[in-house]
Formats: sequence, structure tokens, C-alpha cells
Amino acid sequence: MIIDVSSGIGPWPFMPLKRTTPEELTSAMEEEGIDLALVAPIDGICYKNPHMINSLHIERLSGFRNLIPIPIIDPQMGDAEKEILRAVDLNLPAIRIYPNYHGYSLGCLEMDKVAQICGEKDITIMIQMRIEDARGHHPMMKIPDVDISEVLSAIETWPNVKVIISCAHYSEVIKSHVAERILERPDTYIDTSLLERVDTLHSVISNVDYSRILLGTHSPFLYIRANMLKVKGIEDEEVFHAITHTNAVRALGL
Amino acid sequence: MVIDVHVHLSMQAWREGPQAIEPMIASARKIGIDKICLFPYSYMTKQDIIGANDLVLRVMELYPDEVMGFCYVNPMNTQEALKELERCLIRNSMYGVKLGTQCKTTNPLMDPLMEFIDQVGVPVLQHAWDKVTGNLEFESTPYEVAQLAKGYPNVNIIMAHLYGARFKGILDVAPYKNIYVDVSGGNPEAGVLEYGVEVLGAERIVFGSDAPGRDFSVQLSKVLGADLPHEIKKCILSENVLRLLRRDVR
Repeated sequence: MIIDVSSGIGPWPFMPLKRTTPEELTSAMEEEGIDLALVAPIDGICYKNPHMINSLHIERLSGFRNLIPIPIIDPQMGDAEKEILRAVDLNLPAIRIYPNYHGYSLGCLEMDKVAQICGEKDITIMIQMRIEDARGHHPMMKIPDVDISEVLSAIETWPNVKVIISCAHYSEVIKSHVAERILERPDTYIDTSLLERVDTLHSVISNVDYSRILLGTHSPFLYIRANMLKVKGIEDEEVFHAITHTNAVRALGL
Repeated sequence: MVIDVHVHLSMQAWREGPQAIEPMIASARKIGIDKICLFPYSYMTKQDIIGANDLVLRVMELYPDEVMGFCYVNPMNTQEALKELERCLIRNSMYGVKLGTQCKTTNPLMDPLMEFIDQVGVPVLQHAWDKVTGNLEFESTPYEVAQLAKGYPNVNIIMAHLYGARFKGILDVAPYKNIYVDVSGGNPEAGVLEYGVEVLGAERIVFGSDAPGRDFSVQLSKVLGADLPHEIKKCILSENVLRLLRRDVR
């Protein structure tokens, strides 16, 4: 079973996208050979309270066994804890956070509280580093990328929390101090979605152990084919299976 | 056939010699790319440019069926650039000219080079990007490339980086039929190529990767994964660039 840990549905305010409904995503997944996807509600990212999308999102995916809804959490909102606990009650494996789109520091007290709850309830935190290339943002809505140093500092203060760093750049993760800290901290992972260099995964694996890499397609922003071609370039079956399945099972408690 | 119009000479090859390019060539072959257009990076010094073009020529000799060399010149050093164009294009039959971020396309220093290139009849591959974060000092925008194209309607200009031009840039270059656009660089963002085909026409788009900074397979997915008919993908992957490369492609 091939698992995509980083997918999304919903309309995006800055351009029309395809594969934004559960039906379209499922069809695309079948075409590309993906069996299961963790799906965030991208239409809620720009809501003033992004939690307002979560109920709708859970409902719209309710008939799709191959799509797992991942709620957005903004720690600054007073109902953050309630939203996390609802995710726990529904046996959802993770929450997704967008600190740069919601304007908070990963070191803030509210995020500490979210991390504490996630650690106690064994729910994974997926940190979205960026969504689109910053050079191409709408000129009136430039959103700086999340700083990887801030991520590393913050996650060290979150005991017992599984973390997936989503949409990191290759240049960020191959820096030795970043790769080392990812490996030193248990249950810390990166997804493939925006990693890119010639022969991407062979290059990444020489710096970050393959046990910490998860397949993420970043659909609908990217063609699903892009990340599928990345992983299909792996000749070693054990490594392929780890990146497309086993690591995700471990990282998300599936 | 798949032709990648945008591949940089790796810094490793620059340090270690032409044989160091083999892993990159192997990576391209593995994903099904038959030929690449190779050129130096654009931040070469005046002294390095000649050496770098020489290295490309040596790679062409090592891989005659796979590598088509483009020479790089810096228009700011006009006389040296013209000498280098004569050496590379006339005496050594390179396939085109790569221009980068060392001179804006609107600089009058471009004129002597463009007049020479117009006579020779090879394409120019011109870097461009439209960054809301701010372009480099001499980095051209698509609008500026359009101004260059207007002055030289018989020179085919391949503007690099469709995903850097994006929607406004595509519209800026649309009126100038001698501008083509390569898909190299930037993330494989869904929908941008489809928009480019709709506005420019499929015949004006060519495949490029921007390797080794980018992954051949990921960049190829921009075409393979796009919601476009197979015939259009074939045009983009090779047929369009074959028309532009007036020299015989082996």
C-alpha cells in the first residue's frame, strides 16, 4: 500500500486548481497508484479561524476510506484544544499547522500547549513549511517561509510528539546540522513533496536516513506524478517500501 | 524523443573535468531523456567563461549523441563576448547561446550580440523570472525579454522558466512569436503549463529541467502529469525544440 502523507482538497484563493474534490483526488490517486492519502483542507488555510473548515472537511471525506482528513490547528484560537480532542475522538492520526499563514511563532506558549496535548494523546503534528514558491506569491500577500531553525528549536521542546516537517526544501535538510538534529530526535520525519535536486532521493538519503522520509505529493498544488517519479527512481525495494509505506505507518500510528 | 533544452554544467564537472558529468547524464538517460542542451552557469567570471565553454565542448565530444552545447557569454564585456560567440558558434558549431543574470535584456550592450546571433541563426536561451521577492540586479523579467524580442524579430529567443514567468509573464511575451518558453526550474505546479499552452500555443513551449539544481524526473512530470493531449506533450518534449535548433541534431 502506497501512502501519501501530504495531500489536500478544496479551492485555493490564488488560482484555480484541479483535483480539489474527494472524487477528483481519488481518481488521480488511482491513476498514479496511491492507495491512501492524508488530506488537509486547503480552503480553510486562509479562514480567519481555520478551525471553521474542520467539521465540513471531516464530513466531506466521510465516504472515502482511502482519504484521511487532517484538521488544521491554529494554536492562537481559543478552540484549538477542543479541535485536537475531537481529532483524537475520531481516531485521526495528525493535525496540520501553518505558522507562517497564521502569524505565530512555533516557540509561542500556545504552540507549547498544543504540542503538550498532542504528546499526551499521541497525535502527530505536521508542520507546513511553505505552500507555494515565495517568488510567485500574490504581490499583495507575500507569506515568508517558515524558518527551519525555528522548527528545530521548537520541536526539541516538545517531548514525545511525532513531527512531520512537510514541504521542506532540499537545501534546508541537507545542511548537516539540520539532518543531524532530525536524526537525533526520535519520531521526526520529512516528506518528499518539495525536495528536489538532480536524482533527488538518492541525494537526500545520503544525508537523512531513509527511515525518516515519507512520500508526500503536495497535491493539488503539484502534479502527483512529480513525487511518484521521485520514489519510482529508488531501485532498492526496502527503501522504496519504507518511504512509501512503513515510515508513514510508524509516523502516524496507522 | 525527449530533448532537455536547459541543463547547466555542474560545478563538479568544472572542478573535476568533463568525466564528472557522467552521473548527471546517466540520471537523464534513466528517466528517458535522449538529448540535453548543456551550458555553463551564468555566474562565471570573464576568465572562467572561456574555460567553461571549452569544458562544454569537451563534454560534447565525450557524448556526441546526447549533448548539444550552448555557449555562455556576458554581454557586459562586448568585445570578449563577440569573440567568444565567433569561436563557439562558427568555429566550433555550438547549437545556441545562453544568456543569464549578468546583463539585462534591455541593456543596449545586448545589441551587438543580438545582431551577430541574428546573422548566425541560432536560438538564444535567456534566463528570466518575475519575483515578487525582488529580482537580482541584472536579472531580466519576461516583460524585458519581450522588449528584446521586439527589436530582433528574426532571432528565436527561448525564455527560460515558465514557472518563473507565471501568468503575467506568459501574457507579457505572448504577442512576440519569436519568444518560446522552457518549462525548466520552479516546482511542478499544476495548471501553469496548461495556462501557457492556452495563451502561447503548444508550439511555443519546450521542455527543460534546470538540472543539476533540479531533478530530471520532477521537471519531466510537469509535461507528463499535465492535463494535455499526448500530441501536445510530444511537441513540448522534442518537436518544438528540433525546429529551433537549425543545426543538424544527430
